Amino acid sequence: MNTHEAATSVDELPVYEGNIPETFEVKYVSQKDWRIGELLAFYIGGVGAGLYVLSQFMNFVPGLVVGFILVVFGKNAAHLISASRRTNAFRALTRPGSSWISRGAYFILFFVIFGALDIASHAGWIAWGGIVGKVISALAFAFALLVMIYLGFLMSGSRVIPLWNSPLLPALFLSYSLAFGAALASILYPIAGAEYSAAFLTKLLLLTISSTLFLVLAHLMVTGSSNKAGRRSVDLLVKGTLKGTFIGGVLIVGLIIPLLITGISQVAQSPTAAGTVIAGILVLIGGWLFERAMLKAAVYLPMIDIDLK
Amino acid sequence: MKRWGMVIDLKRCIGCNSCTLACKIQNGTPPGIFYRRVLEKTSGKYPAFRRTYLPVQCMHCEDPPCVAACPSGVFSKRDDGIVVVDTNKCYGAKACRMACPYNAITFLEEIRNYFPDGRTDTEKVWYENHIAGTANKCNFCADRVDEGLQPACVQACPAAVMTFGDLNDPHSEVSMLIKARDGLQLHAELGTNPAVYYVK
Repeated sequence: MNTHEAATSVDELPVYEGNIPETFEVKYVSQKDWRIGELLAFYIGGVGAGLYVLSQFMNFVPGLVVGFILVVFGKNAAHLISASRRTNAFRALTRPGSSWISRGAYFILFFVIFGALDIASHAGWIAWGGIVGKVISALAFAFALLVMIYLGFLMSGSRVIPLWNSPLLPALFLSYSLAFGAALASILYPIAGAEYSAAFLTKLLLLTISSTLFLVLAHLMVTGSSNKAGRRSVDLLVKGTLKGTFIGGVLIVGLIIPLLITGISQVAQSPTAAGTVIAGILVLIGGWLFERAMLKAAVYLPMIDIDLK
Repeated sequence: MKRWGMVIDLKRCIGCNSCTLACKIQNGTPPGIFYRRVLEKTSGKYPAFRRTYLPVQCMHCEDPPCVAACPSGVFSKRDDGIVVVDTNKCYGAKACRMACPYNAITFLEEIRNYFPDGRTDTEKVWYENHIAGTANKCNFCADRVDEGLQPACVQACPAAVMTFGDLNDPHSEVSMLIKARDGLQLHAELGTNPAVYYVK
Protein backbone atom coordinates (compact mmCIF):
# COMPACT_ATOMS: atom_id res chain seq x y z
CA MET A 1 0.00 0.00 0.00
CA ASN A 2 1.25 3.45 -0.82
CA THR A 3 1.39 5.21 2.52
CA HIS A 4 1.23 8.63 0.92
CA GLU A 5 -2.11 7.89 -0.70
CA ALA A 6 -3.51 6.40 2.49
CA ALA A 7 -2.67 9.46 4.56
CA THR A 8 -5.46 11.98 4.98
CA SER A 9 -3.49 14.60 6.89
CA VAL A 10 0.07 15.70 7.33
CA ASP A 11 0.19 14.13 10.77
CA GLU A 12 -0.51 10.71 9.29
CA LEU A 13 2.38 10.85 6.86
CA PRO A 14 5.21 8.48 7.73
CA VAL A 15 8.13 10.26 9.33
CA TYR A 16 11.39 9.54 7.58
CA GLU A 17 14.06 9.10 10.21
CA GLY A 18 16.92 10.03 7.94
CA ASN A 19 19.96 12.05 8.75
CA ILE A 20 18.62 15.32 7.39
CA PRO A 21 19.59 18.17 9.70
CA GLU A 22 17.28 21.16 9.92
CA THR A 23 20.20 23.47 10.46
CA PHE A 24 23.97 23.22 10.55
CA GLU A 25 24.55 24.77 13.94
CA VAL A 26 28.19 25.61 14.70
CA LYS A 27 29.26 23.55 17.69
CA TYR A 28 32.01 21.37 19.11
CA VAL A 29 31.84 17.83 17.79
CA SER A 30 33.86 14.72 18.61
CA GLN A 31 35.09 12.35 15.98
CA LYS A 32 32.78 9.39 15.45
CA ASP A 33 34.48 7.73 12.50
CA TRP A 34 36.96 5.56 14.37
CA ARG A 35 34.94 3.26 16.58
CA ILE A 36 35.19 -0.23 18.04
CA GLY A 37 36.96 -1.78 15.03
CA GLU A 38 39.77 0.76 15.03
CA LEU A 39 39.94 0.69 18.84
CA LEU A 40 40.39 -3.09 18.79
CA ALA A 41 43.06 -2.84 16.09
CA PHE A 42 45.03 -0.14 17.93
CA TYR A 43 44.78 -1.90 21.28
CA ILE A 44 45.58 -5.41 20.10
CA GLY A 45 48.44 -4.09 17.97
CA GLY A 46 49.91 -2.21 20.93
CA VAL A 47 49.61 -5.17 23.27
CA GLY A 48 51.01 -7.65 20.73
CA ALA A 49 53.95 -5.52 19.61
CA GLY A 50 54.83 -4.58 23.21
CA LEU A 51 54.78 -8.23 24.25
CA TYR A 52 56.93 -9.20 21.26
CA VAL A 53 59.58 -6.58 21.96
CA LEU A 54 59.86 -7.44 25.66
CA SER A 55 59.73 -11.18 24.99
CA GLN A 56 62.64 -10.87 22.60
CA PHE A 57 64.50 -8.91 25.25
CA MET A 58 63.68 -11.61 27.85
CA ASN A 59 64.11 -14.53 25.40
CA PHE A 60 60.54 -15.66 26.22
CA VAL A 61 59.40 -17.74 23.21
CA PRO A 62 55.69 -18.14 24.19
CA GLY A 63 55.55 -14.34 24.48
CA LEU A 64 57.06 -13.97 21.00
CA VAL A 65 54.43 -16.31 19.57
CA VAL A 66 51.46 -14.69 21.35
CA GLY A 67 52.68 -11.18 20.47
CA PHE A 68 53.14 -12.17 16.83
CA ILE A 69 49.66 -13.74 16.65
CA LEU A 70 48.06 -10.69 18.25
CA VAL A 71 49.62 -8.31 15.72
CA VAL A 72 49.36 -10.44 12.61
CA PHE A 73 45.92 -11.93 13.13
CA GLY A 74 44.25 -9.80 15.82
CA LYS A 75 45.25 -6.33 14.63
CA ASN A 76 44.87 -7.08 10.94
CA ALA A 77 41.50 -8.79 11.43
CA ALA A 78 40.22 -5.78 13.38
CA HIS A 79 41.43 -3.42 10.65
CA LEU A 80 39.71 -5.52 8.01
CA ILE A 81 36.48 -5.65 10.00
CA SER A 82 36.46 -1.87 10.33
CA ALA A 83 37.19 -1.28 6.62
CA SER A 84 34.05 -0.55 4.65
CA ARG A 85 35.43 -2.02 1.40
CA ARG A 86 37.68 -4.90 2.38
CA THR A 87 38.55 -5.87 -1.20
CA ASN A 88 40.24 -2.48 -1.53
CA ALA A 89 42.22 -2.81 1.70
CA PHE A 90 45.43 -3.68 -0.20
CA ARG A 91 45.43 -0.04 -1.28
CA ALA A 92 46.61 0.86 2.21
CA LEU A 93 50.07 0.03 0.87
CA THR A 94 50.03 2.58 -1.93
CA ARG A 95 50.97 5.85 -0.18
CA PRO A 96 53.87 5.28 2.23
CA GLY A 97 55.42 8.57 1.15
CA SER A 98 52.82 10.66 2.96
CA SER A 99 50.31 8.54 4.88
CA TRP A 100 51.04 7.09 8.33
CA ILE A 101 48.36 4.46 7.80
CA SER A 102 50.25 3.33 4.72
CA ARG A 103 53.56 3.35 6.59
CA GLY A 104 51.92 1.38 9.41
CA ALA A 105 50.72 -1.19 6.89
CA TYR A 106 54.31 -1.64 5.70
CA PHE A 107 55.60 -1.90 9.28
CA ILE A 108 53.08 -4.68 9.92
CA LEU A 109 53.98 -6.41 6.65
CA PHE A 110 57.71 -6.40 7.45
CA PHE A 111 56.97 -7.45 11.02
CA VAL A 112 55.04 -10.45 9.65
CA ILE A 113 58.03 -11.47 7.54
CA PHE A 114 60.87 -10.91 10.03
CA GLY A 115 58.79 -11.90 13.08
CA ALA A 116 57.91 -15.25 11.51
CA LEU A 117 61.58 -15.89 10.63
CA ASP A 118 62.65 -14.82 14.12
CA ILE A 119 60.16 -17.14 15.81
CA ALA A 120 61.17 -20.01 13.52
CA SER A 121 64.74 -19.36 14.57
CA HIS A 122 63.90 -19.23 18.29
CA ALA A 123 61.83 -22.43 18.01
CA GLY A 124 64.73 -24.19 16.30
CA TRP A 125 62.85 -24.79 13.02
CA ILE A 126 65.42 -22.82 11.06
CA ALA A 127 69.10 -22.66 11.97
CA TRP A 128 70.48 -19.33 10.78
CA GLY A 129 74.13 -18.51 10.91
CA GLY A 130 75.11 -16.28 13.83
CA ILE A 131 75.06 -12.89 12.10
CA VAL A 132 72.00 -13.62 9.91
CA GLY A 133 69.96 -14.71 12.93
CA LYS A 134 70.94 -11.57 14.81
CA VAL A 135 70.05 -9.31 11.89
CA ILE A 136 66.63 -10.98 11.52
CA SER A 137 65.96 -10.65 15.25
CA ALA A 138 67.00 -7.01 15.17
CA LEU A 139 64.73 -6.31 12.18
CA ALA A 140 61.76 -8.06 13.85
CA PHE A 141 62.47 -6.01 16.99
CA ALA A 142 62.68 -2.77 15.01
CA PHE A 143 59.44 -3.35 13.08
CA ALA A 144 57.61 -4.32 16.28
CA LEU A 145 58.80 -1.02 17.77
CA LEU A 146 57.53 0.83 14.69
CA VAL A 147 54.15 -0.93 14.98
CA MET A 148 53.99 0.43 18.55
CA ILE A 149 54.91 3.98 17.60
CA TYR A 150 53.26 4.64 14.23
CA LEU A 151 49.82 5.06 15.77
CA GLY A 152 51.17 7.99 17.77
CA PHE A 153 52.49 9.64 14.61
CA LEU A 154 49.24 8.90 12.77
CA MET A 155 47.09 10.52 15.43
CA SER A 156 49.45 13.39 16.22
CA GLY A 157 49.38 14.32 12.52
CA SER A 158 45.74 15.31 12.83
CA ARG A 159 46.05 19.08 13.27
CA VAL A 160 42.29 19.42 13.54
CA ILE A 161 41.99 17.33 16.73
CA PRO A 162 44.01 19.03 19.51
CA LEU A 163 43.78 15.97 21.81
CA TRP A 164 45.74 14.01 19.23
CA ASN A 165 47.87 16.77 17.76
CA SER A 166 50.65 16.45 20.31
CA PRO A 167 54.32 15.54 19.90
CA LEU A 168 54.01 13.50 23.11
CA LEU A 169 51.67 10.98 21.53
CA PRO A 170 54.27 8.69 19.88
CA ALA A 171 56.19 8.48 23.18
CA LEU A 172 52.94 7.88 25.06
CA PHE A 173 51.89 5.02 22.79
CA LEU A 174 55.37 3.54 22.97
CA SER A 175 55.31 3.68 26.76
CA TYR A 176 51.81 2.23 26.96
CA SER A 177 52.74 -0.59 24.56
CA LEU A 178 55.76 -1.50 26.68
CA ALA A 179 53.53 -1.46 29.79
CA PHE A 180 51.07 -3.72 27.94
CA GLY A 181 53.92 -6.04 27.01
CA ALA A 182 55.17 -6.23 30.59
CA ALA A 183 51.60 -6.74 31.82
CA LEU A 184 50.81 -9.57 29.43
CA ALA A 185 54.21 -11.18 30.02
CA SER A 186 53.43 -11.16 33.77
CA ILE A 187 50.25 -13.12 33.04
CA LEU A 188 51.77 -15.45 30.42
CA TYR A 189 54.84 -16.54 32.38
CA PRO A 190 52.88 -18.49 35.05
CA ILE A 191 50.51 -19.88 32.38
CA ALA A 192 53.42 -21.06 30.20
CA GLY A 193 55.11 -22.55 33.25
CA ALA A 194 58.37 -20.89 32.28
CA GLU A 195 60.99 -19.87 34.80
CA TYR A 196 61.14 -16.17 35.38
CA SER A 197 62.08 -13.52 37.86
CA ALA A 198 59.14 -11.80 39.56
CA ALA A 199 61.60 -9.15 40.75
CA PHE A 200 62.59 -8.31 37.17
CA LEU A 201 58.99 -8.16 35.97
CA THR A 202 58.06 -5.97 38.95
CA LYS A 203 60.84 -3.55 38.04
CA LEU A 204 59.77 -3.59 34.39
CA LEU A 205 56.14 -2.90 35.29
CA LEU A 206 57.15 -0.17 37.73
CA LEU A 207 59.27 1.54 35.10
CA THR A 208 56.72 1.35 32.25
CA ILE A 209 53.72 2.28 34.42
CA SER A 210 55.59 5.27 35.90
CA SER A 211 56.62 6.59 32.50
CA THR A 212 53.11 6.04 31.12
CA LEU A 213 51.48 7.86 34.05
CA PHE A 214 53.92 10.76 33.64
CA LEU A 215 53.24 10.97 29.89
CA VAL A 216 49.44 10.72 30.28
CA LEU A 217 49.45 13.61 32.78
CA ALA A 218 51.87 15.65 30.67
CA HIS A 219 49.71 15.03 27.60
CA LEU A 220 46.63 16.25 29.47
CA MET A 221 48.45 19.42 30.54
CA VAL A 222 49.73 20.14 27.05
CA THR A 223 46.31 19.53 25.47
CA GLY A 224 44.51 21.56 28.12
CA SER A 225 46.67 24.57 27.41
CA SER A 226 46.44 24.32 23.60
CA ASN A 227 43.11 25.87 22.56
CA LYS A 228 39.37 25.76 23.25
CA ALA A 229 38.82 22.42 21.53
CA GLY A 230 41.75 20.94 23.45
CA ARG A 231 40.32 22.22 26.73
CA ARG A 232 36.97 20.76 25.73
CA SER A 233 38.60 17.34 25.26
CA VAL A 234 40.33 17.57 28.63
CA ASP A 235 37.07 18.70 30.25
CA LEU A 236 35.32 15.67 28.77
CA LEU A 237 37.99 13.43 30.30
CA VAL A 238 38.24 14.95 33.76
CA LYS A 239 34.85 16.59 34.33
CA GLY A 240 32.47 15.40 31.64
CA THR A 241 30.90 12.20 30.43
CA LEU A 242 34.22 10.34 30.32
CA LYS A 243 35.23 11.29 33.87
CA GLY A 244 34.47 7.85 35.31
CA THR A 245 36.28 6.07 32.51
CA PHE A 246 39.30 8.31 32.58
CA ILE A 247 39.87 9.15 36.23
CA GLY A 248 38.47 5.93 37.65
CA GLY A 249 39.44 3.47 34.95
CA VAL A 250 42.54 4.86 33.25
CA LEU A 251 44.28 6.72 36.07
CA ILE A 252 43.25 4.96 39.30
CA VAL A 253 42.57 1.36 38.23
CA GLY A 254 44.91 1.24 35.23
CA LEU A 255 47.93 3.16 36.47
CA ILE A 256 47.92 4.30 40.12
CA ILE A 257 46.87 1.00 41.76
CA PRO A 258 49.32 -1.09 39.66
CA LEU A 259 51.99 1.50 40.44
CA LEU A 260 51.28 1.13 44.16
CA ILE A 261 51.30 -2.68 43.96
CA THR A 262 54.60 -2.83 42.11
CA GLY A 263 56.10 0.10 44.04
CA ILE A 264 55.33 -1.39 47.45
CA SER A 265 56.64 -4.80 46.29
CA GLN A 266 59.83 -3.14 45.11
CA VAL A 267 60.37 -1.08 48.24
CA ALA A 268 59.55 -4.04 50.52
CA GLN A 269 61.89 -6.25 48.46
CA SER A 270 59.12 -8.85 48.24
CA PRO A 271 57.99 -9.08 44.61
CA THR A 272 55.47 -11.85 44.04
CA ALA A 273 53.99 -13.50 40.97
CA ALA A 274 50.48 -12.72 42.23
CA GLY A 275 51.35 -9.04 42.55
CA THR A 276 52.66 -8.81 38.99
CA VAL A 277 49.66 -10.72 37.60
CA ILE A 278 47.15 -8.41 39.34
CA ALA A 279 49.08 -5.31 38.30
CA GLY A 280 49.28 -6.67 34.74
CA ILE A 281 45.54 -7.29 34.48
CA LEU A 282 44.79 -3.79 35.77
CA VAL A 283 47.23 -2.20 33.30
CA LEU A 284 45.59 -4.05 30.40
CA ILE A 285 42.12 -2.92 31.49
CA GLY A 286 43.29 0.65 32.01
CA GLY A 287 45.03 0.71 28.63
CA TRP A 288 41.87 -0.36 26.82
CA LEU A 289 39.93 2.39 28.59
CA PHE A 290 42.66 4.93 27.76
CA GLU A 291 42.55 4.21 24.03
CA ARG A 292 38.74 4.23 24.10
CA ALA A 293 38.79 7.60 25.86
CA MET A 294 41.29 8.97 23.32
CA LEU A 295 38.88 8.16 20.51
CA LYS A 296 35.76 9.36 22.32
CA ALA A 297 37.16 12.66 23.58
CA ALA A 298 38.68 13.67 20.24
CA VAL A 299 36.99 17.04 19.73
CA TYR A 300 37.49 18.76 16.39
CA LEU A 301 38.61 22.36 16.12
CA PRO A 302 35.44 24.36 15.48
CA MET A 303 35.06 25.55 11.92
CA ILE A 304 34.80 29.20 12.80
CA ASP A 305 38.08 30.63 13.91
CA ILE A 306 37.44 34.07 12.53
CA ASP A 307 35.39 36.65 14.38
CA LEU A 308 32.10 36.78 12.57
CA LYS A 309 30.38 39.28 14.85
CA MET B 1 48.85 28.33 -14.54
CA LYS B 2 45.36 28.89 -13.16
CA ARG B 3 44.44 28.27 -9.54
CA TRP B 4 40.69 28.16 -9.16
CA GLY B 5 39.33 29.76 -6.03
CA MET B 6 36.26 31.28 -4.49
CA VAL B 7 35.41 34.35 -2.47
CA ILE B 8 32.38 34.19 -0.17
CA ASP B 9 30.84 37.48 0.88
CA LEU B 10 29.44 36.93 4.36
CA LYS B 11 27.58 40.24 4.31
CA ARG B 12 25.45 38.99 1.46
CA CYS B 13 24.60 35.50 2.70
CA ILE B 14 20.99 35.17 3.87
CA GLY B 15 21.25 31.49 4.85
CA CYS B 16 18.72 30.29 2.28
CA ASN B 17 20.73 27.14 1.49
CA SER B 18 20.11 27.47 -2.24
CA CYS B 19 23.78 26.56 -2.70
CA THR B 20 23.33 23.49 -0.48
CA LEU B 21 20.43 22.30 -2.62
CA ALA B 22 22.11 23.15 -5.93
CA CYS B 23 25.10 21.11 -4.79
CA LYS B 24 22.91 18.17 -3.82
CA ILE B 25 21.16 18.25 -7.19
CA GLN B 26 24.39 18.69 -9.14
CA ASN B 27 26.09 15.79 -7.36
CA GLY B 28 22.98 13.67 -6.73
CA THR B 29 23.92 13.01 -3.14
CA PRO B 30 21.86 10.66 -0.95
CA PRO B 31 20.19 11.75 2.32
CA GLY B 32 22.59 13.03 4.96
CA ILE B 33 25.40 13.74 2.50
CA PHE B 34 26.28 17.39 1.98
CA TYR B 35 29.36 18.52 0.08
CA ARG B 36 28.38 22.07 0.87
CA ARG B 37 26.60 23.44 3.92
CA VAL B 38 25.65 26.78 5.37
CA LEU B 39 26.70 26.80 9.01
CA GLU B 40 24.71 28.96 11.39
CA LYS B 41 25.84 30.72 14.49
CA THR B 42 23.49 32.51 16.86
CA SER B 43 24.93 35.05 19.25
CA GLY B 44 23.27 37.20 21.91
CA LYS B 45 19.82 36.77 23.47
CA TYR B 46 16.36 37.75 22.32
CA PRO B 47 15.59 40.47 21.35
CA ALA B 48 19.22 41.51 20.85
CA PHE B 49 20.47 38.48 19.02
CA ARG B 50 22.13 37.92 15.71
CA ARG B 51 22.32 34.98 13.36
CA THR B 52 25.37 34.64 11.18
CA TYR B 53 25.76 32.33 8.22
CA LEU B 54 28.93 30.68 7.04
CA PRO B 55 28.81 28.67 3.80
CA VAL B 56 31.46 25.94 3.90
CA GLN B 57 32.72 23.28 1.52
CA CYS B 58 36.03 21.75 0.51
CA MET B 59 38.56 24.57 0.59
CA HIS B 60 40.76 23.06 -2.16
CA CYS B 61 43.86 23.72 -0.09
CA GLU B 62 47.20 24.34 -1.71
CA ASP B 63 48.63 21.85 0.77
CA PRO B 64 45.65 19.52 1.24
CA PRO B 65 45.91 17.37 4.40
CA CYS B 66 43.47 14.83 2.93
CA VAL B 67 45.86 14.04 0.07
CA ALA B 68 48.70 13.40 2.51
CA ALA B 69 46.65 11.43 5.05
CA CYS B 70 44.79 9.10 2.70
CA PRO B 71 46.60 5.75 2.51
CA SER B 72 45.01 4.71 -0.75
CA GLY B 73 45.38 7.75 -3.02
CA VAL B 74 41.69 8.68 -3.14
CA PHE B 75 42.43 12.42 -3.26
CA SER B 76 44.64 14.22 -5.73
CA LYS B 77 45.23 17.82 -6.72
CA ARG B 78 44.90 18.90 -10.32
CA ASP B 79 47.23 21.42 -11.91
CA ASP B 80 44.52 24.06 -11.57
CA GLY B 81 44.38 23.49 -7.80
CA ILE B 82 41.10 21.57 -7.65
CA VAL B 83 41.33 18.64 -5.23
CA VAL B 84 39.46 15.75 -6.83
CA VAL B 85 38.29 12.38 -5.52
CA ASP B 86 38.51 8.88 -6.96
CA THR B 87 36.09 6.95 -4.76
CA ASN B 88 36.98 3.66 -6.46
CA LYS B 89 40.26 3.69 -4.55
CA CYS B 90 38.65 4.21 -1.13
CA TYR B 91 38.54 1.35 1.38
CA GLY B 92 37.16 3.30 4.32
CA ALA B 93 40.16 4.21 6.47
CA LYS B 94 38.55 7.62 7.14
CA ALA B 95 41.94 9.20 7.80
CA CYS B 96 40.88 12.03 5.49
CA ARG B 97 38.10 13.02 7.86
CA MET B 98 40.54 13.17 10.78
CA ALA B 99 42.92 15.30 8.71
CA CYS B 100 40.57 17.84 7.11
CA PRO B 101 40.39 21.06 9.18
CA TYR B 102 37.14 22.03 7.46
CA ASN B 103 35.00 18.95 8.08
CA ALA B 104 34.51 18.97 4.32
CA ILE B 105 34.78 15.28 3.63
CA THR B 106 31.67 13.16 3.86
CA PHE B 107 31.58 9.44 4.37
CA LEU B 108 28.76 7.50 2.74
CA GLU B 109 28.12 4.58 5.09
CA GLU B 110 25.15 3.35 3.08
CA ILE B 111 23.03 4.71 0.27
CA ARG B 112 19.57 5.43 1.63
CA ASN B 113 16.50 6.71 -0.16
CA TYR B 114 14.76 10.01 0.33
CA PHE B 115 11.29 8.48 0.46
CA PRO B 116 9.96 5.47 2.35
CA ASP B 117 8.34 3.91 -0.71
CA GLY B 118 11.60 3.10 -2.45
CA ARG B 119 14.06 4.73 -4.81
CA THR B 120 12.66 7.19 -7.33
CA ASP B 121 13.78 7.17 -10.97
CA THR B 122 15.84 10.29 -10.31
CA GLU B 123 17.56 8.67 -7.36
CA LYS B 124 18.35 5.58 -9.44
CA VAL B 125 20.27 7.80 -11.87
CA TRP B 126 21.85 9.90 -9.12
CA TYR B 127 23.18 7.01 -7.11
CA GLU B 128 24.96 5.38 -10.03
CA ASN B 129 27.87 7.70 -9.22
CA HIS B 130 28.03 6.85 -5.53
CA ILE B 131 29.69 3.89 -3.82
CA ALA B 132 28.67 2.95 -0.29
CA GLY B 133 31.56 2.87 2.19
CA THR B 134 33.57 5.61 0.51
CA ALA B 135 34.58 9.19 1.18
CA ASN B 136 33.59 12.04 -1.09
CA LYS B 137 33.53 15.83 -1.18
CA CYS B 138 33.09 18.97 -3.28
CA ASN B 139 35.21 19.10 -6.43
CA PHE B 140 34.34 22.70 -7.34
CA CYS B 141 32.07 21.12 -9.99
CA ALA B 142 35.22 20.32 -11.96
CA ASP B 143 33.23 19.05 -14.96
CA ARG B 144 31.33 22.30 -15.20
CA VAL B 145 34.47 24.37 -14.68
CA ASP B 146 36.24 22.46 -17.46
CA GLU B 147 33.35 23.41 -19.75
CA GLY B 148 33.75 27.06 -18.85
CA LEU B 149 30.78 27.13 -16.48
CA GLN B 150 30.58 28.27 -12.86
CA PRO B 151 30.15 25.76 -10.02
CA ALA B 152 26.48 24.96 -9.37
CA CYS B 153 26.46 26.69 -5.97
CA VAL B 154 27.76 29.93 -7.47
CA GLN B 155 25.17 29.88 -10.21
CA ALA B 156 22.28 29.09 -7.86
CA CYS B 157 22.95 31.71 -5.19
CA PRO B 158 20.24 34.40 -5.33
CA ALA B 159 22.36 36.92 -3.42
CA ALA B 160 25.55 36.59 -5.45
CA VAL B 161 27.44 35.57 -2.32
CA MET B 162 30.11 33.58 -4.15
CA THR B 163 32.57 34.73 -6.75
CA PHE B 164 34.58 32.10 -8.58
CA GLY B 165 37.76 32.68 -10.53
CA ASP B 166 41.50 32.43 -10.94
CA LEU B 167 43.44 33.28 -7.79
CA ASN B 168 46.69 33.46 -9.73
CA ASP B 169 45.40 36.23 -11.98
CA PRO B 170 45.89 39.50 -10.06
CA HIS B 171 43.22 41.17 -12.20
CA SER B 172 40.53 38.53 -11.70
CA GLU B 173 37.44 39.46 -9.70
CA VAL B 174 38.37 37.05 -6.90
CA SER B 175 41.87 38.47 -6.54
CA MET B 176 40.55 42.04 -6.55
CA LEU B 177 37.93 41.19 -3.92
CA ILE B 178 40.49 39.51 -1.67
CA LYS B 179 42.81 42.48 -1.97
CA ALA B 180 40.17 45.18 -1.60
CA ARG B 181 38.31 43.60 1.32
CA ASP B 182 41.07 41.74 3.15
CA GLY B 183 39.93 38.23 2.34
CA LEU B 184 40.23 35.75 5.20
CA GLN B 185 40.90 32.05 5.06
CA LEU B 186 39.45 29.61 7.62
CA HIS B 187 42.13 28.11 9.86
CA ALA B 188 44.86 29.98 8.02
CA GLU B 189 47.13 29.20 10.98
CA LEU B 190 47.26 25.55 9.89
CA GLY B 191 49.19 26.46 6.76
CA THR B 192 46.94 24.67 4.28
CA ASN B 193 46.38 27.85 2.21
CA PRO B 194 42.73 27.28 1.24
CA ALA B 195 41.45 28.48 -2.12
CA VAL B 196 38.21 29.68 -0.52
CA TYR B 197 38.32 33.16 1.01
CA TYR B 198 35.75 34.99 3.10
CA VAL B 199 35.09 38.72 3.07
CA LYS B 200 33.08 40.60 5.68
